[in-house]
Amino acid sequence: MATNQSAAYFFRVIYMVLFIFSGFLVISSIDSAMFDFAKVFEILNYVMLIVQGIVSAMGEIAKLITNYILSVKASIPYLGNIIGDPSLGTLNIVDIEQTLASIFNPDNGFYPHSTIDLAEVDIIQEFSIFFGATTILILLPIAFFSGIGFLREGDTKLAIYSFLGFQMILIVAIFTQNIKISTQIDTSSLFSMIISPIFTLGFLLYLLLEVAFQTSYTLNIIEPMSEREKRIQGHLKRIRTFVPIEEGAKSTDQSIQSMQSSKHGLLAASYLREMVERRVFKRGETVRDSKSMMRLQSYLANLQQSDPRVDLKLAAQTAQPDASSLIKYFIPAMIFRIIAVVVLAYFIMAPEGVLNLEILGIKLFIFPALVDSLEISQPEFQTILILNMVLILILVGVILKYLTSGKTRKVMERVVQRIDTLVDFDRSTPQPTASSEPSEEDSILDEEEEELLDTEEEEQT
Amino acid sequence: MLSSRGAFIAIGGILLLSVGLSAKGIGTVTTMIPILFSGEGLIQQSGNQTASGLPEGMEFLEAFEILNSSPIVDYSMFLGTLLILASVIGLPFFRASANASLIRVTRRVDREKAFAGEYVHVTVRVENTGGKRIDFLEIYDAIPDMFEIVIGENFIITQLAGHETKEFSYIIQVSTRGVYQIGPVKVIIHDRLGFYFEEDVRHFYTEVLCYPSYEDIRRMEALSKRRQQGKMFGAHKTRQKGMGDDFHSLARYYPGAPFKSLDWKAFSRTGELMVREFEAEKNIRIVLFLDHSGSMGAGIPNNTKLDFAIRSVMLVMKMAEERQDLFGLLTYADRPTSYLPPGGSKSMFHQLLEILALVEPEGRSDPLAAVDYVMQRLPRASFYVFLTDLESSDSEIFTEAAKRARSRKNRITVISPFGPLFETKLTDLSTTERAIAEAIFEEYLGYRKQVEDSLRGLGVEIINVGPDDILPNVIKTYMKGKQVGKGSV
Repeated sequence: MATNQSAAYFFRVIYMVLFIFSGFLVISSIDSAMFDFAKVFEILNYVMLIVQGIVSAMGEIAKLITNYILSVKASIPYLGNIIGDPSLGTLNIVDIEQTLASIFNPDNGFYPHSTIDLAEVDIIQEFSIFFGATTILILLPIAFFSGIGFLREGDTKLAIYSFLGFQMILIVAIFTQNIKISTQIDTSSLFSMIISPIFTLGFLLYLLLEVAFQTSYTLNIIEPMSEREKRIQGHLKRIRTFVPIEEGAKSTDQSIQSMQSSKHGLLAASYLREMVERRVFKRGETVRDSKSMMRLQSYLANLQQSDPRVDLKLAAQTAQPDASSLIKYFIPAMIFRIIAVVVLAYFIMAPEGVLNLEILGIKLFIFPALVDSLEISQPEFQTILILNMVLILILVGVILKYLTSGKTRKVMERVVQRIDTLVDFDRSTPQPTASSEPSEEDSILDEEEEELLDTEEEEQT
Repeated sequence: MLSSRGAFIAIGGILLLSVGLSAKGIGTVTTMIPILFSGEGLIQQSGNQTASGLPEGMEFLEAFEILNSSPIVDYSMFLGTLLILASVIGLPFFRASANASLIRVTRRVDREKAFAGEYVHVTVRVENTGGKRIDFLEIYDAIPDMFEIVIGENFIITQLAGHETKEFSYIIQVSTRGVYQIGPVKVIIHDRLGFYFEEDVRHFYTEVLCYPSYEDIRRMEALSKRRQQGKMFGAHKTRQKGMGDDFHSLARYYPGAPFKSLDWKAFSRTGELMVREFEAEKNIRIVLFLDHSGSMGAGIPNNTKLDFAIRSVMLVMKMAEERQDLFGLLTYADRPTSYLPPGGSKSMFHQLLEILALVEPEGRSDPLAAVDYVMQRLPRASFYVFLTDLESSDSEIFTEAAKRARSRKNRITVISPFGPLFETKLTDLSTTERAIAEAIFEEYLGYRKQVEDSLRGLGVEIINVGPDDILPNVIKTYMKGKQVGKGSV
């Protein structure tokens, strides 16, 4: 069990190292402009001012309409005097003009560049900084705390949030041109693609996600089983060491005494009545629990006698996964996946290189119209390649599934057996297996064969 | 099959590809606009051009100029490609290795028949008959709702190497009588990253027959042991005065008393003529009629009228067996469903348990058919005890059944679980509910009175019982019948 725990720690440590490294790379790749959080508040203030102006203007418009409607009534100015608003009942657009002027006035004190003429401010630049800084402000804590949360809880959702957070930060940084590293993926060769900084960073983040999935798998398969083993061992220990409480004995004695006072041989009746009452009115739970524990104790003792490995089976100790194999298979599987994904990604992102590939002077692909086409480097062509690739992989999967399925294997074995029988007449019949019980597959096959035969017979009739 | 996690990654990839393609498309449009606007007609209409080549008034398109640059397109396409490939690259390998049909699952129980409240140990054996390793395997063994897992779990999450076998087990407690099936088994195989899964449900079942609870009998046996130890001496006296070999008592001589029964020693002591009286133990033939019509299923789950009636049958059966009486059982609803002719062998108890385990409340009640059925097979006078709530049949039918039974000198007692008592307790109800409940009580009692009146003339005794006095009353009826010699053999 200790080995299993260490396997879980092993994967967590790998994730942690990758997480810190990736986080550091992402942050260091982003321009410092994206960390200008003051800009966020400045622009929010300005947005607030605009909203305030719009609301104020709408109020003035409403007032204007009201004034227009009320001005037809002679008594309204009188009313206005009474309520202390002389403007009521008169047309007044001065307030609107003042509000609008305050919004666009460079000296209003709200706009951060109040000393600069508004026309000189690069609005797009300002908003890109605002967008970038807001993204960092929101997504960086999410990515960071989700990653830490995953390390604690092992919940893959948190790892996905972390991945999405980092990726969104990168995408926004690229979009707003606030990235320090080169954003070009050099697809002139596989090696140059791999060493492209943006490719490396993006791939590293994906790798982090994959390691998280691997960690989650290890935790899912190891931790529940370890906890189960501990819990059940504890249960078994408690049951085996259980000592019945005294109350049970007292209760029986009392009931026996009460029975002795009955007549007509109905002494059992009062005892049974008590028992029924316990059941119906839920009395004497403790005593009953104690008795069922005693029964369970003796049942377990009997089981132990008939099968000494019963504890191991109950605690599923015999079914514990092997932690060493988890680690052993993790590294080659991961390396293989990485290589496969990178190579296929290269093929999709730079198909010219592969399509122009020559082996022994012979071109692999002989469609010049396709290979020499300008469209080959366009995203649309990449999409078509991805679609093809996905379909090929699915098809290969289906074929492999068919070839390796139990039914196919069984049919193949039977065919081989029949051929062997035909070839070698002297061969003795195969020995029956130790188990008299037919296997699941046998029964399934037999059923299917019977169904087929039945169908054929029906068709014939 | 793609799991939700795999689907998430794939859809994320598709979204990113879409973003890349869209960005590229918008970028192309922004490139095309200056070209379009540089056409003669448009230029003339729009007037001057700005420094960026965009027509006056369309400077906002500069914001989208960024999309025309490749980084955002390239990165979206790269990440989308990466995610889509990652979600499908392992599929062929998963398909090749994960074949649920190669997982053989077998189940073994330590007993196929158990009393309610007893334990059953279920062992599940999982074998990978294929040569490929399975990284993530889940096995779920379904159990009926009525079963409670006491120790262990009915599932396992593990990995299985080629040709490897693993075992796990759990202990269940069966709480209610009946026939139950353990199964099916669900086999789920995942890949390591949780992108794909394959699921297979194996429809093989293990049947467990659950007898009614043995608790009552066990307690009674405990009582018997104490009785044997002398603690309850006299509690089981069921002998009857009359013909026999065992001395009972001395009595005054009465005219007609056999001369040989005179006790001369007593005469010499007292100076009065005394006769010796003898006694003999009477064995009776008792047939229980268990009504399992639909209305008998009413009540608190596991404590319905039928459940109590079954427990009563078991108790009487055990008592009759101990006292060497002949005991028979007929279960009936709208027709007789099973019949156990009166006998006293040990094997009868197991037959009885099997019958009682399978009894379910259903249909209406036809006591006439039940009586006819028994009388055709048992011509001798017996002690008939009906366990029926009298709710699923008309009083006329029951009266007719009683008449026929009485015509053959059978003695009849009806123990009738009173429905409302099994469904609620008056103390638990609010004032309004109590008033309604009392009205229902009155209605039920009125009907019972009617049945009682019609049966009284036939010498049929009806005992109304609730959950707390049904068992004592059944025992009392049996003991009383034995004392009086109802259905004497």
